[in-house]
Amino acid sequence: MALPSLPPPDAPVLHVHSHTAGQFGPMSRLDLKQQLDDGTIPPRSHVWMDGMAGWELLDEHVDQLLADLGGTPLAVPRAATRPAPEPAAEPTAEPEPAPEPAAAPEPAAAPEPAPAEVAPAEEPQPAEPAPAPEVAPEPASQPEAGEGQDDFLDRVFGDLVRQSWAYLGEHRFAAHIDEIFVGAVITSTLDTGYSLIDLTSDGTHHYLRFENLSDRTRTIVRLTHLTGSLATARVLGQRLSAVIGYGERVGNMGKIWSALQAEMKSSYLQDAEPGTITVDGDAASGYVYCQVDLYLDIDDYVSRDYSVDHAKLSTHIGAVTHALRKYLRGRFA
Amino acid sequence: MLSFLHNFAHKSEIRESKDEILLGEIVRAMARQGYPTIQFVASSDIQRVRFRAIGDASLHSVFVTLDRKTGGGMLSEALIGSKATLRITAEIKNRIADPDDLVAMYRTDLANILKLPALGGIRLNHELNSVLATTQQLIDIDQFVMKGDPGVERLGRLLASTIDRLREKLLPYKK
Repeated sequence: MALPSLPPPDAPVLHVHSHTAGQFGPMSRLDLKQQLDDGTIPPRSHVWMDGMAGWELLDEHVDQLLADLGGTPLAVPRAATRPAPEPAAEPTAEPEPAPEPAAAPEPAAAPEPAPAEVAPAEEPQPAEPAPAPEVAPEPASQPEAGEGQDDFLDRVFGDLVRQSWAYLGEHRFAAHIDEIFVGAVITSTLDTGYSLIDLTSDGTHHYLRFENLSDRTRTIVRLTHLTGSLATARVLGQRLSAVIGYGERVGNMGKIWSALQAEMKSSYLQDAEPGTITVDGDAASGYVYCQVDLYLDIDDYVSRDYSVDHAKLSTHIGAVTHALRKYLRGRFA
Repeated sequence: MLSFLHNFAHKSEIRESKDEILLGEIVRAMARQGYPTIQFVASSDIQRVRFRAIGDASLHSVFVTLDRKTGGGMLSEALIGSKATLRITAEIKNRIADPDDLVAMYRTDLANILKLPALGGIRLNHELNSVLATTQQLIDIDQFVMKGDPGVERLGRLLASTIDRLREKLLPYKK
């Protein structure tokens, strides 16, 4: 699809979104070229500007956007990233998934589309915007004009050290992303009126239990990070095994007994598969819990710049607990 | 009778969970100040959370450790209240360390002898690429939890002011 119009080179009207690198813009075409050149923006990102119906793949428009600016940037090795589309050809590599349709900006909406990094309206924003993730600089191969050999070698050394920190940062981010997600779950759930009442974590397995202290309903979240290494995460994405549960106190011994019977049946499941609802009863506290197994892609919620889509996370947890609440009340009420 | 027993068990559980309730509020307060979590170490006795200092030009990360001392039982809560030690450590990272840093490490180690984090003093720990500043205080959990917005705001102010103090102490070591 063609762009609605080609904006002036220095007009900051472009918004770029990458699931791995985060949100950029508004920026001009000149800025876009610069950031593609230095690798800040991955070539397989999505772009949106006023007049476009939704997010579209950047590499489908990059030629048009940069045609009058001196050609396609070095960072877009088009032949390498995606073969030219041929009719009835073999399937090409899967492009980076487009952002959620609901997250695409409405044409008449506020100028900031920010599809994946929207925080709840009531949550105050940090004073400073989150910085872009550290990008490994390419050490220079030759001195700049007027630069002495000594200064040049110092600069190369500095770039090599910075590059090493950036590589280390990538590994650490891949290992810690589940804990960023755990913090996001806590923040999102507290924002819905719950309090954290139990937390255990060994760095890979995390167990969280929340209670709404007013109506005494409970939510439990058990998370296991499945892709802790950078290599695995790059191949599969950042995956979590999640068990989300909802609990309520039931009124009498008969209902608790019924829940305990259901729990016994649940125990026959060796490995629950996604969508399988299991039941857990606690005779001492009078609580009955229903829980369901899911797999989540953390990249859907956490961006490389550590920003979190709290609105999406809150909606998804809310949808699961809503379904479980209906099941629990239908089954034991 | 069953309802009475369940209510008793519930009150006991919530009393035991006050440190977790506070920790949840700490995580939320830190998120609002731009510090996402990057590490959890949590067991029944002690909870330690590490936060990444996103957007902070000087700090790299902040550790918060909550160690509950009293108030887990009905009697101790009534007599002493729910006391816990809140230890906060701020970390700066320098990309390059050299042998001169070893000399600086000895100096800060010597200065540490007279510093008592438990009394609100700030203790520095100088490692090669990292310099850490730690302070610790005894807090009453009930001042912050189940107090609605005023409790949450009080907690946010305590965290922000403590981190500011630690940052100020660390700034001379930032290269």
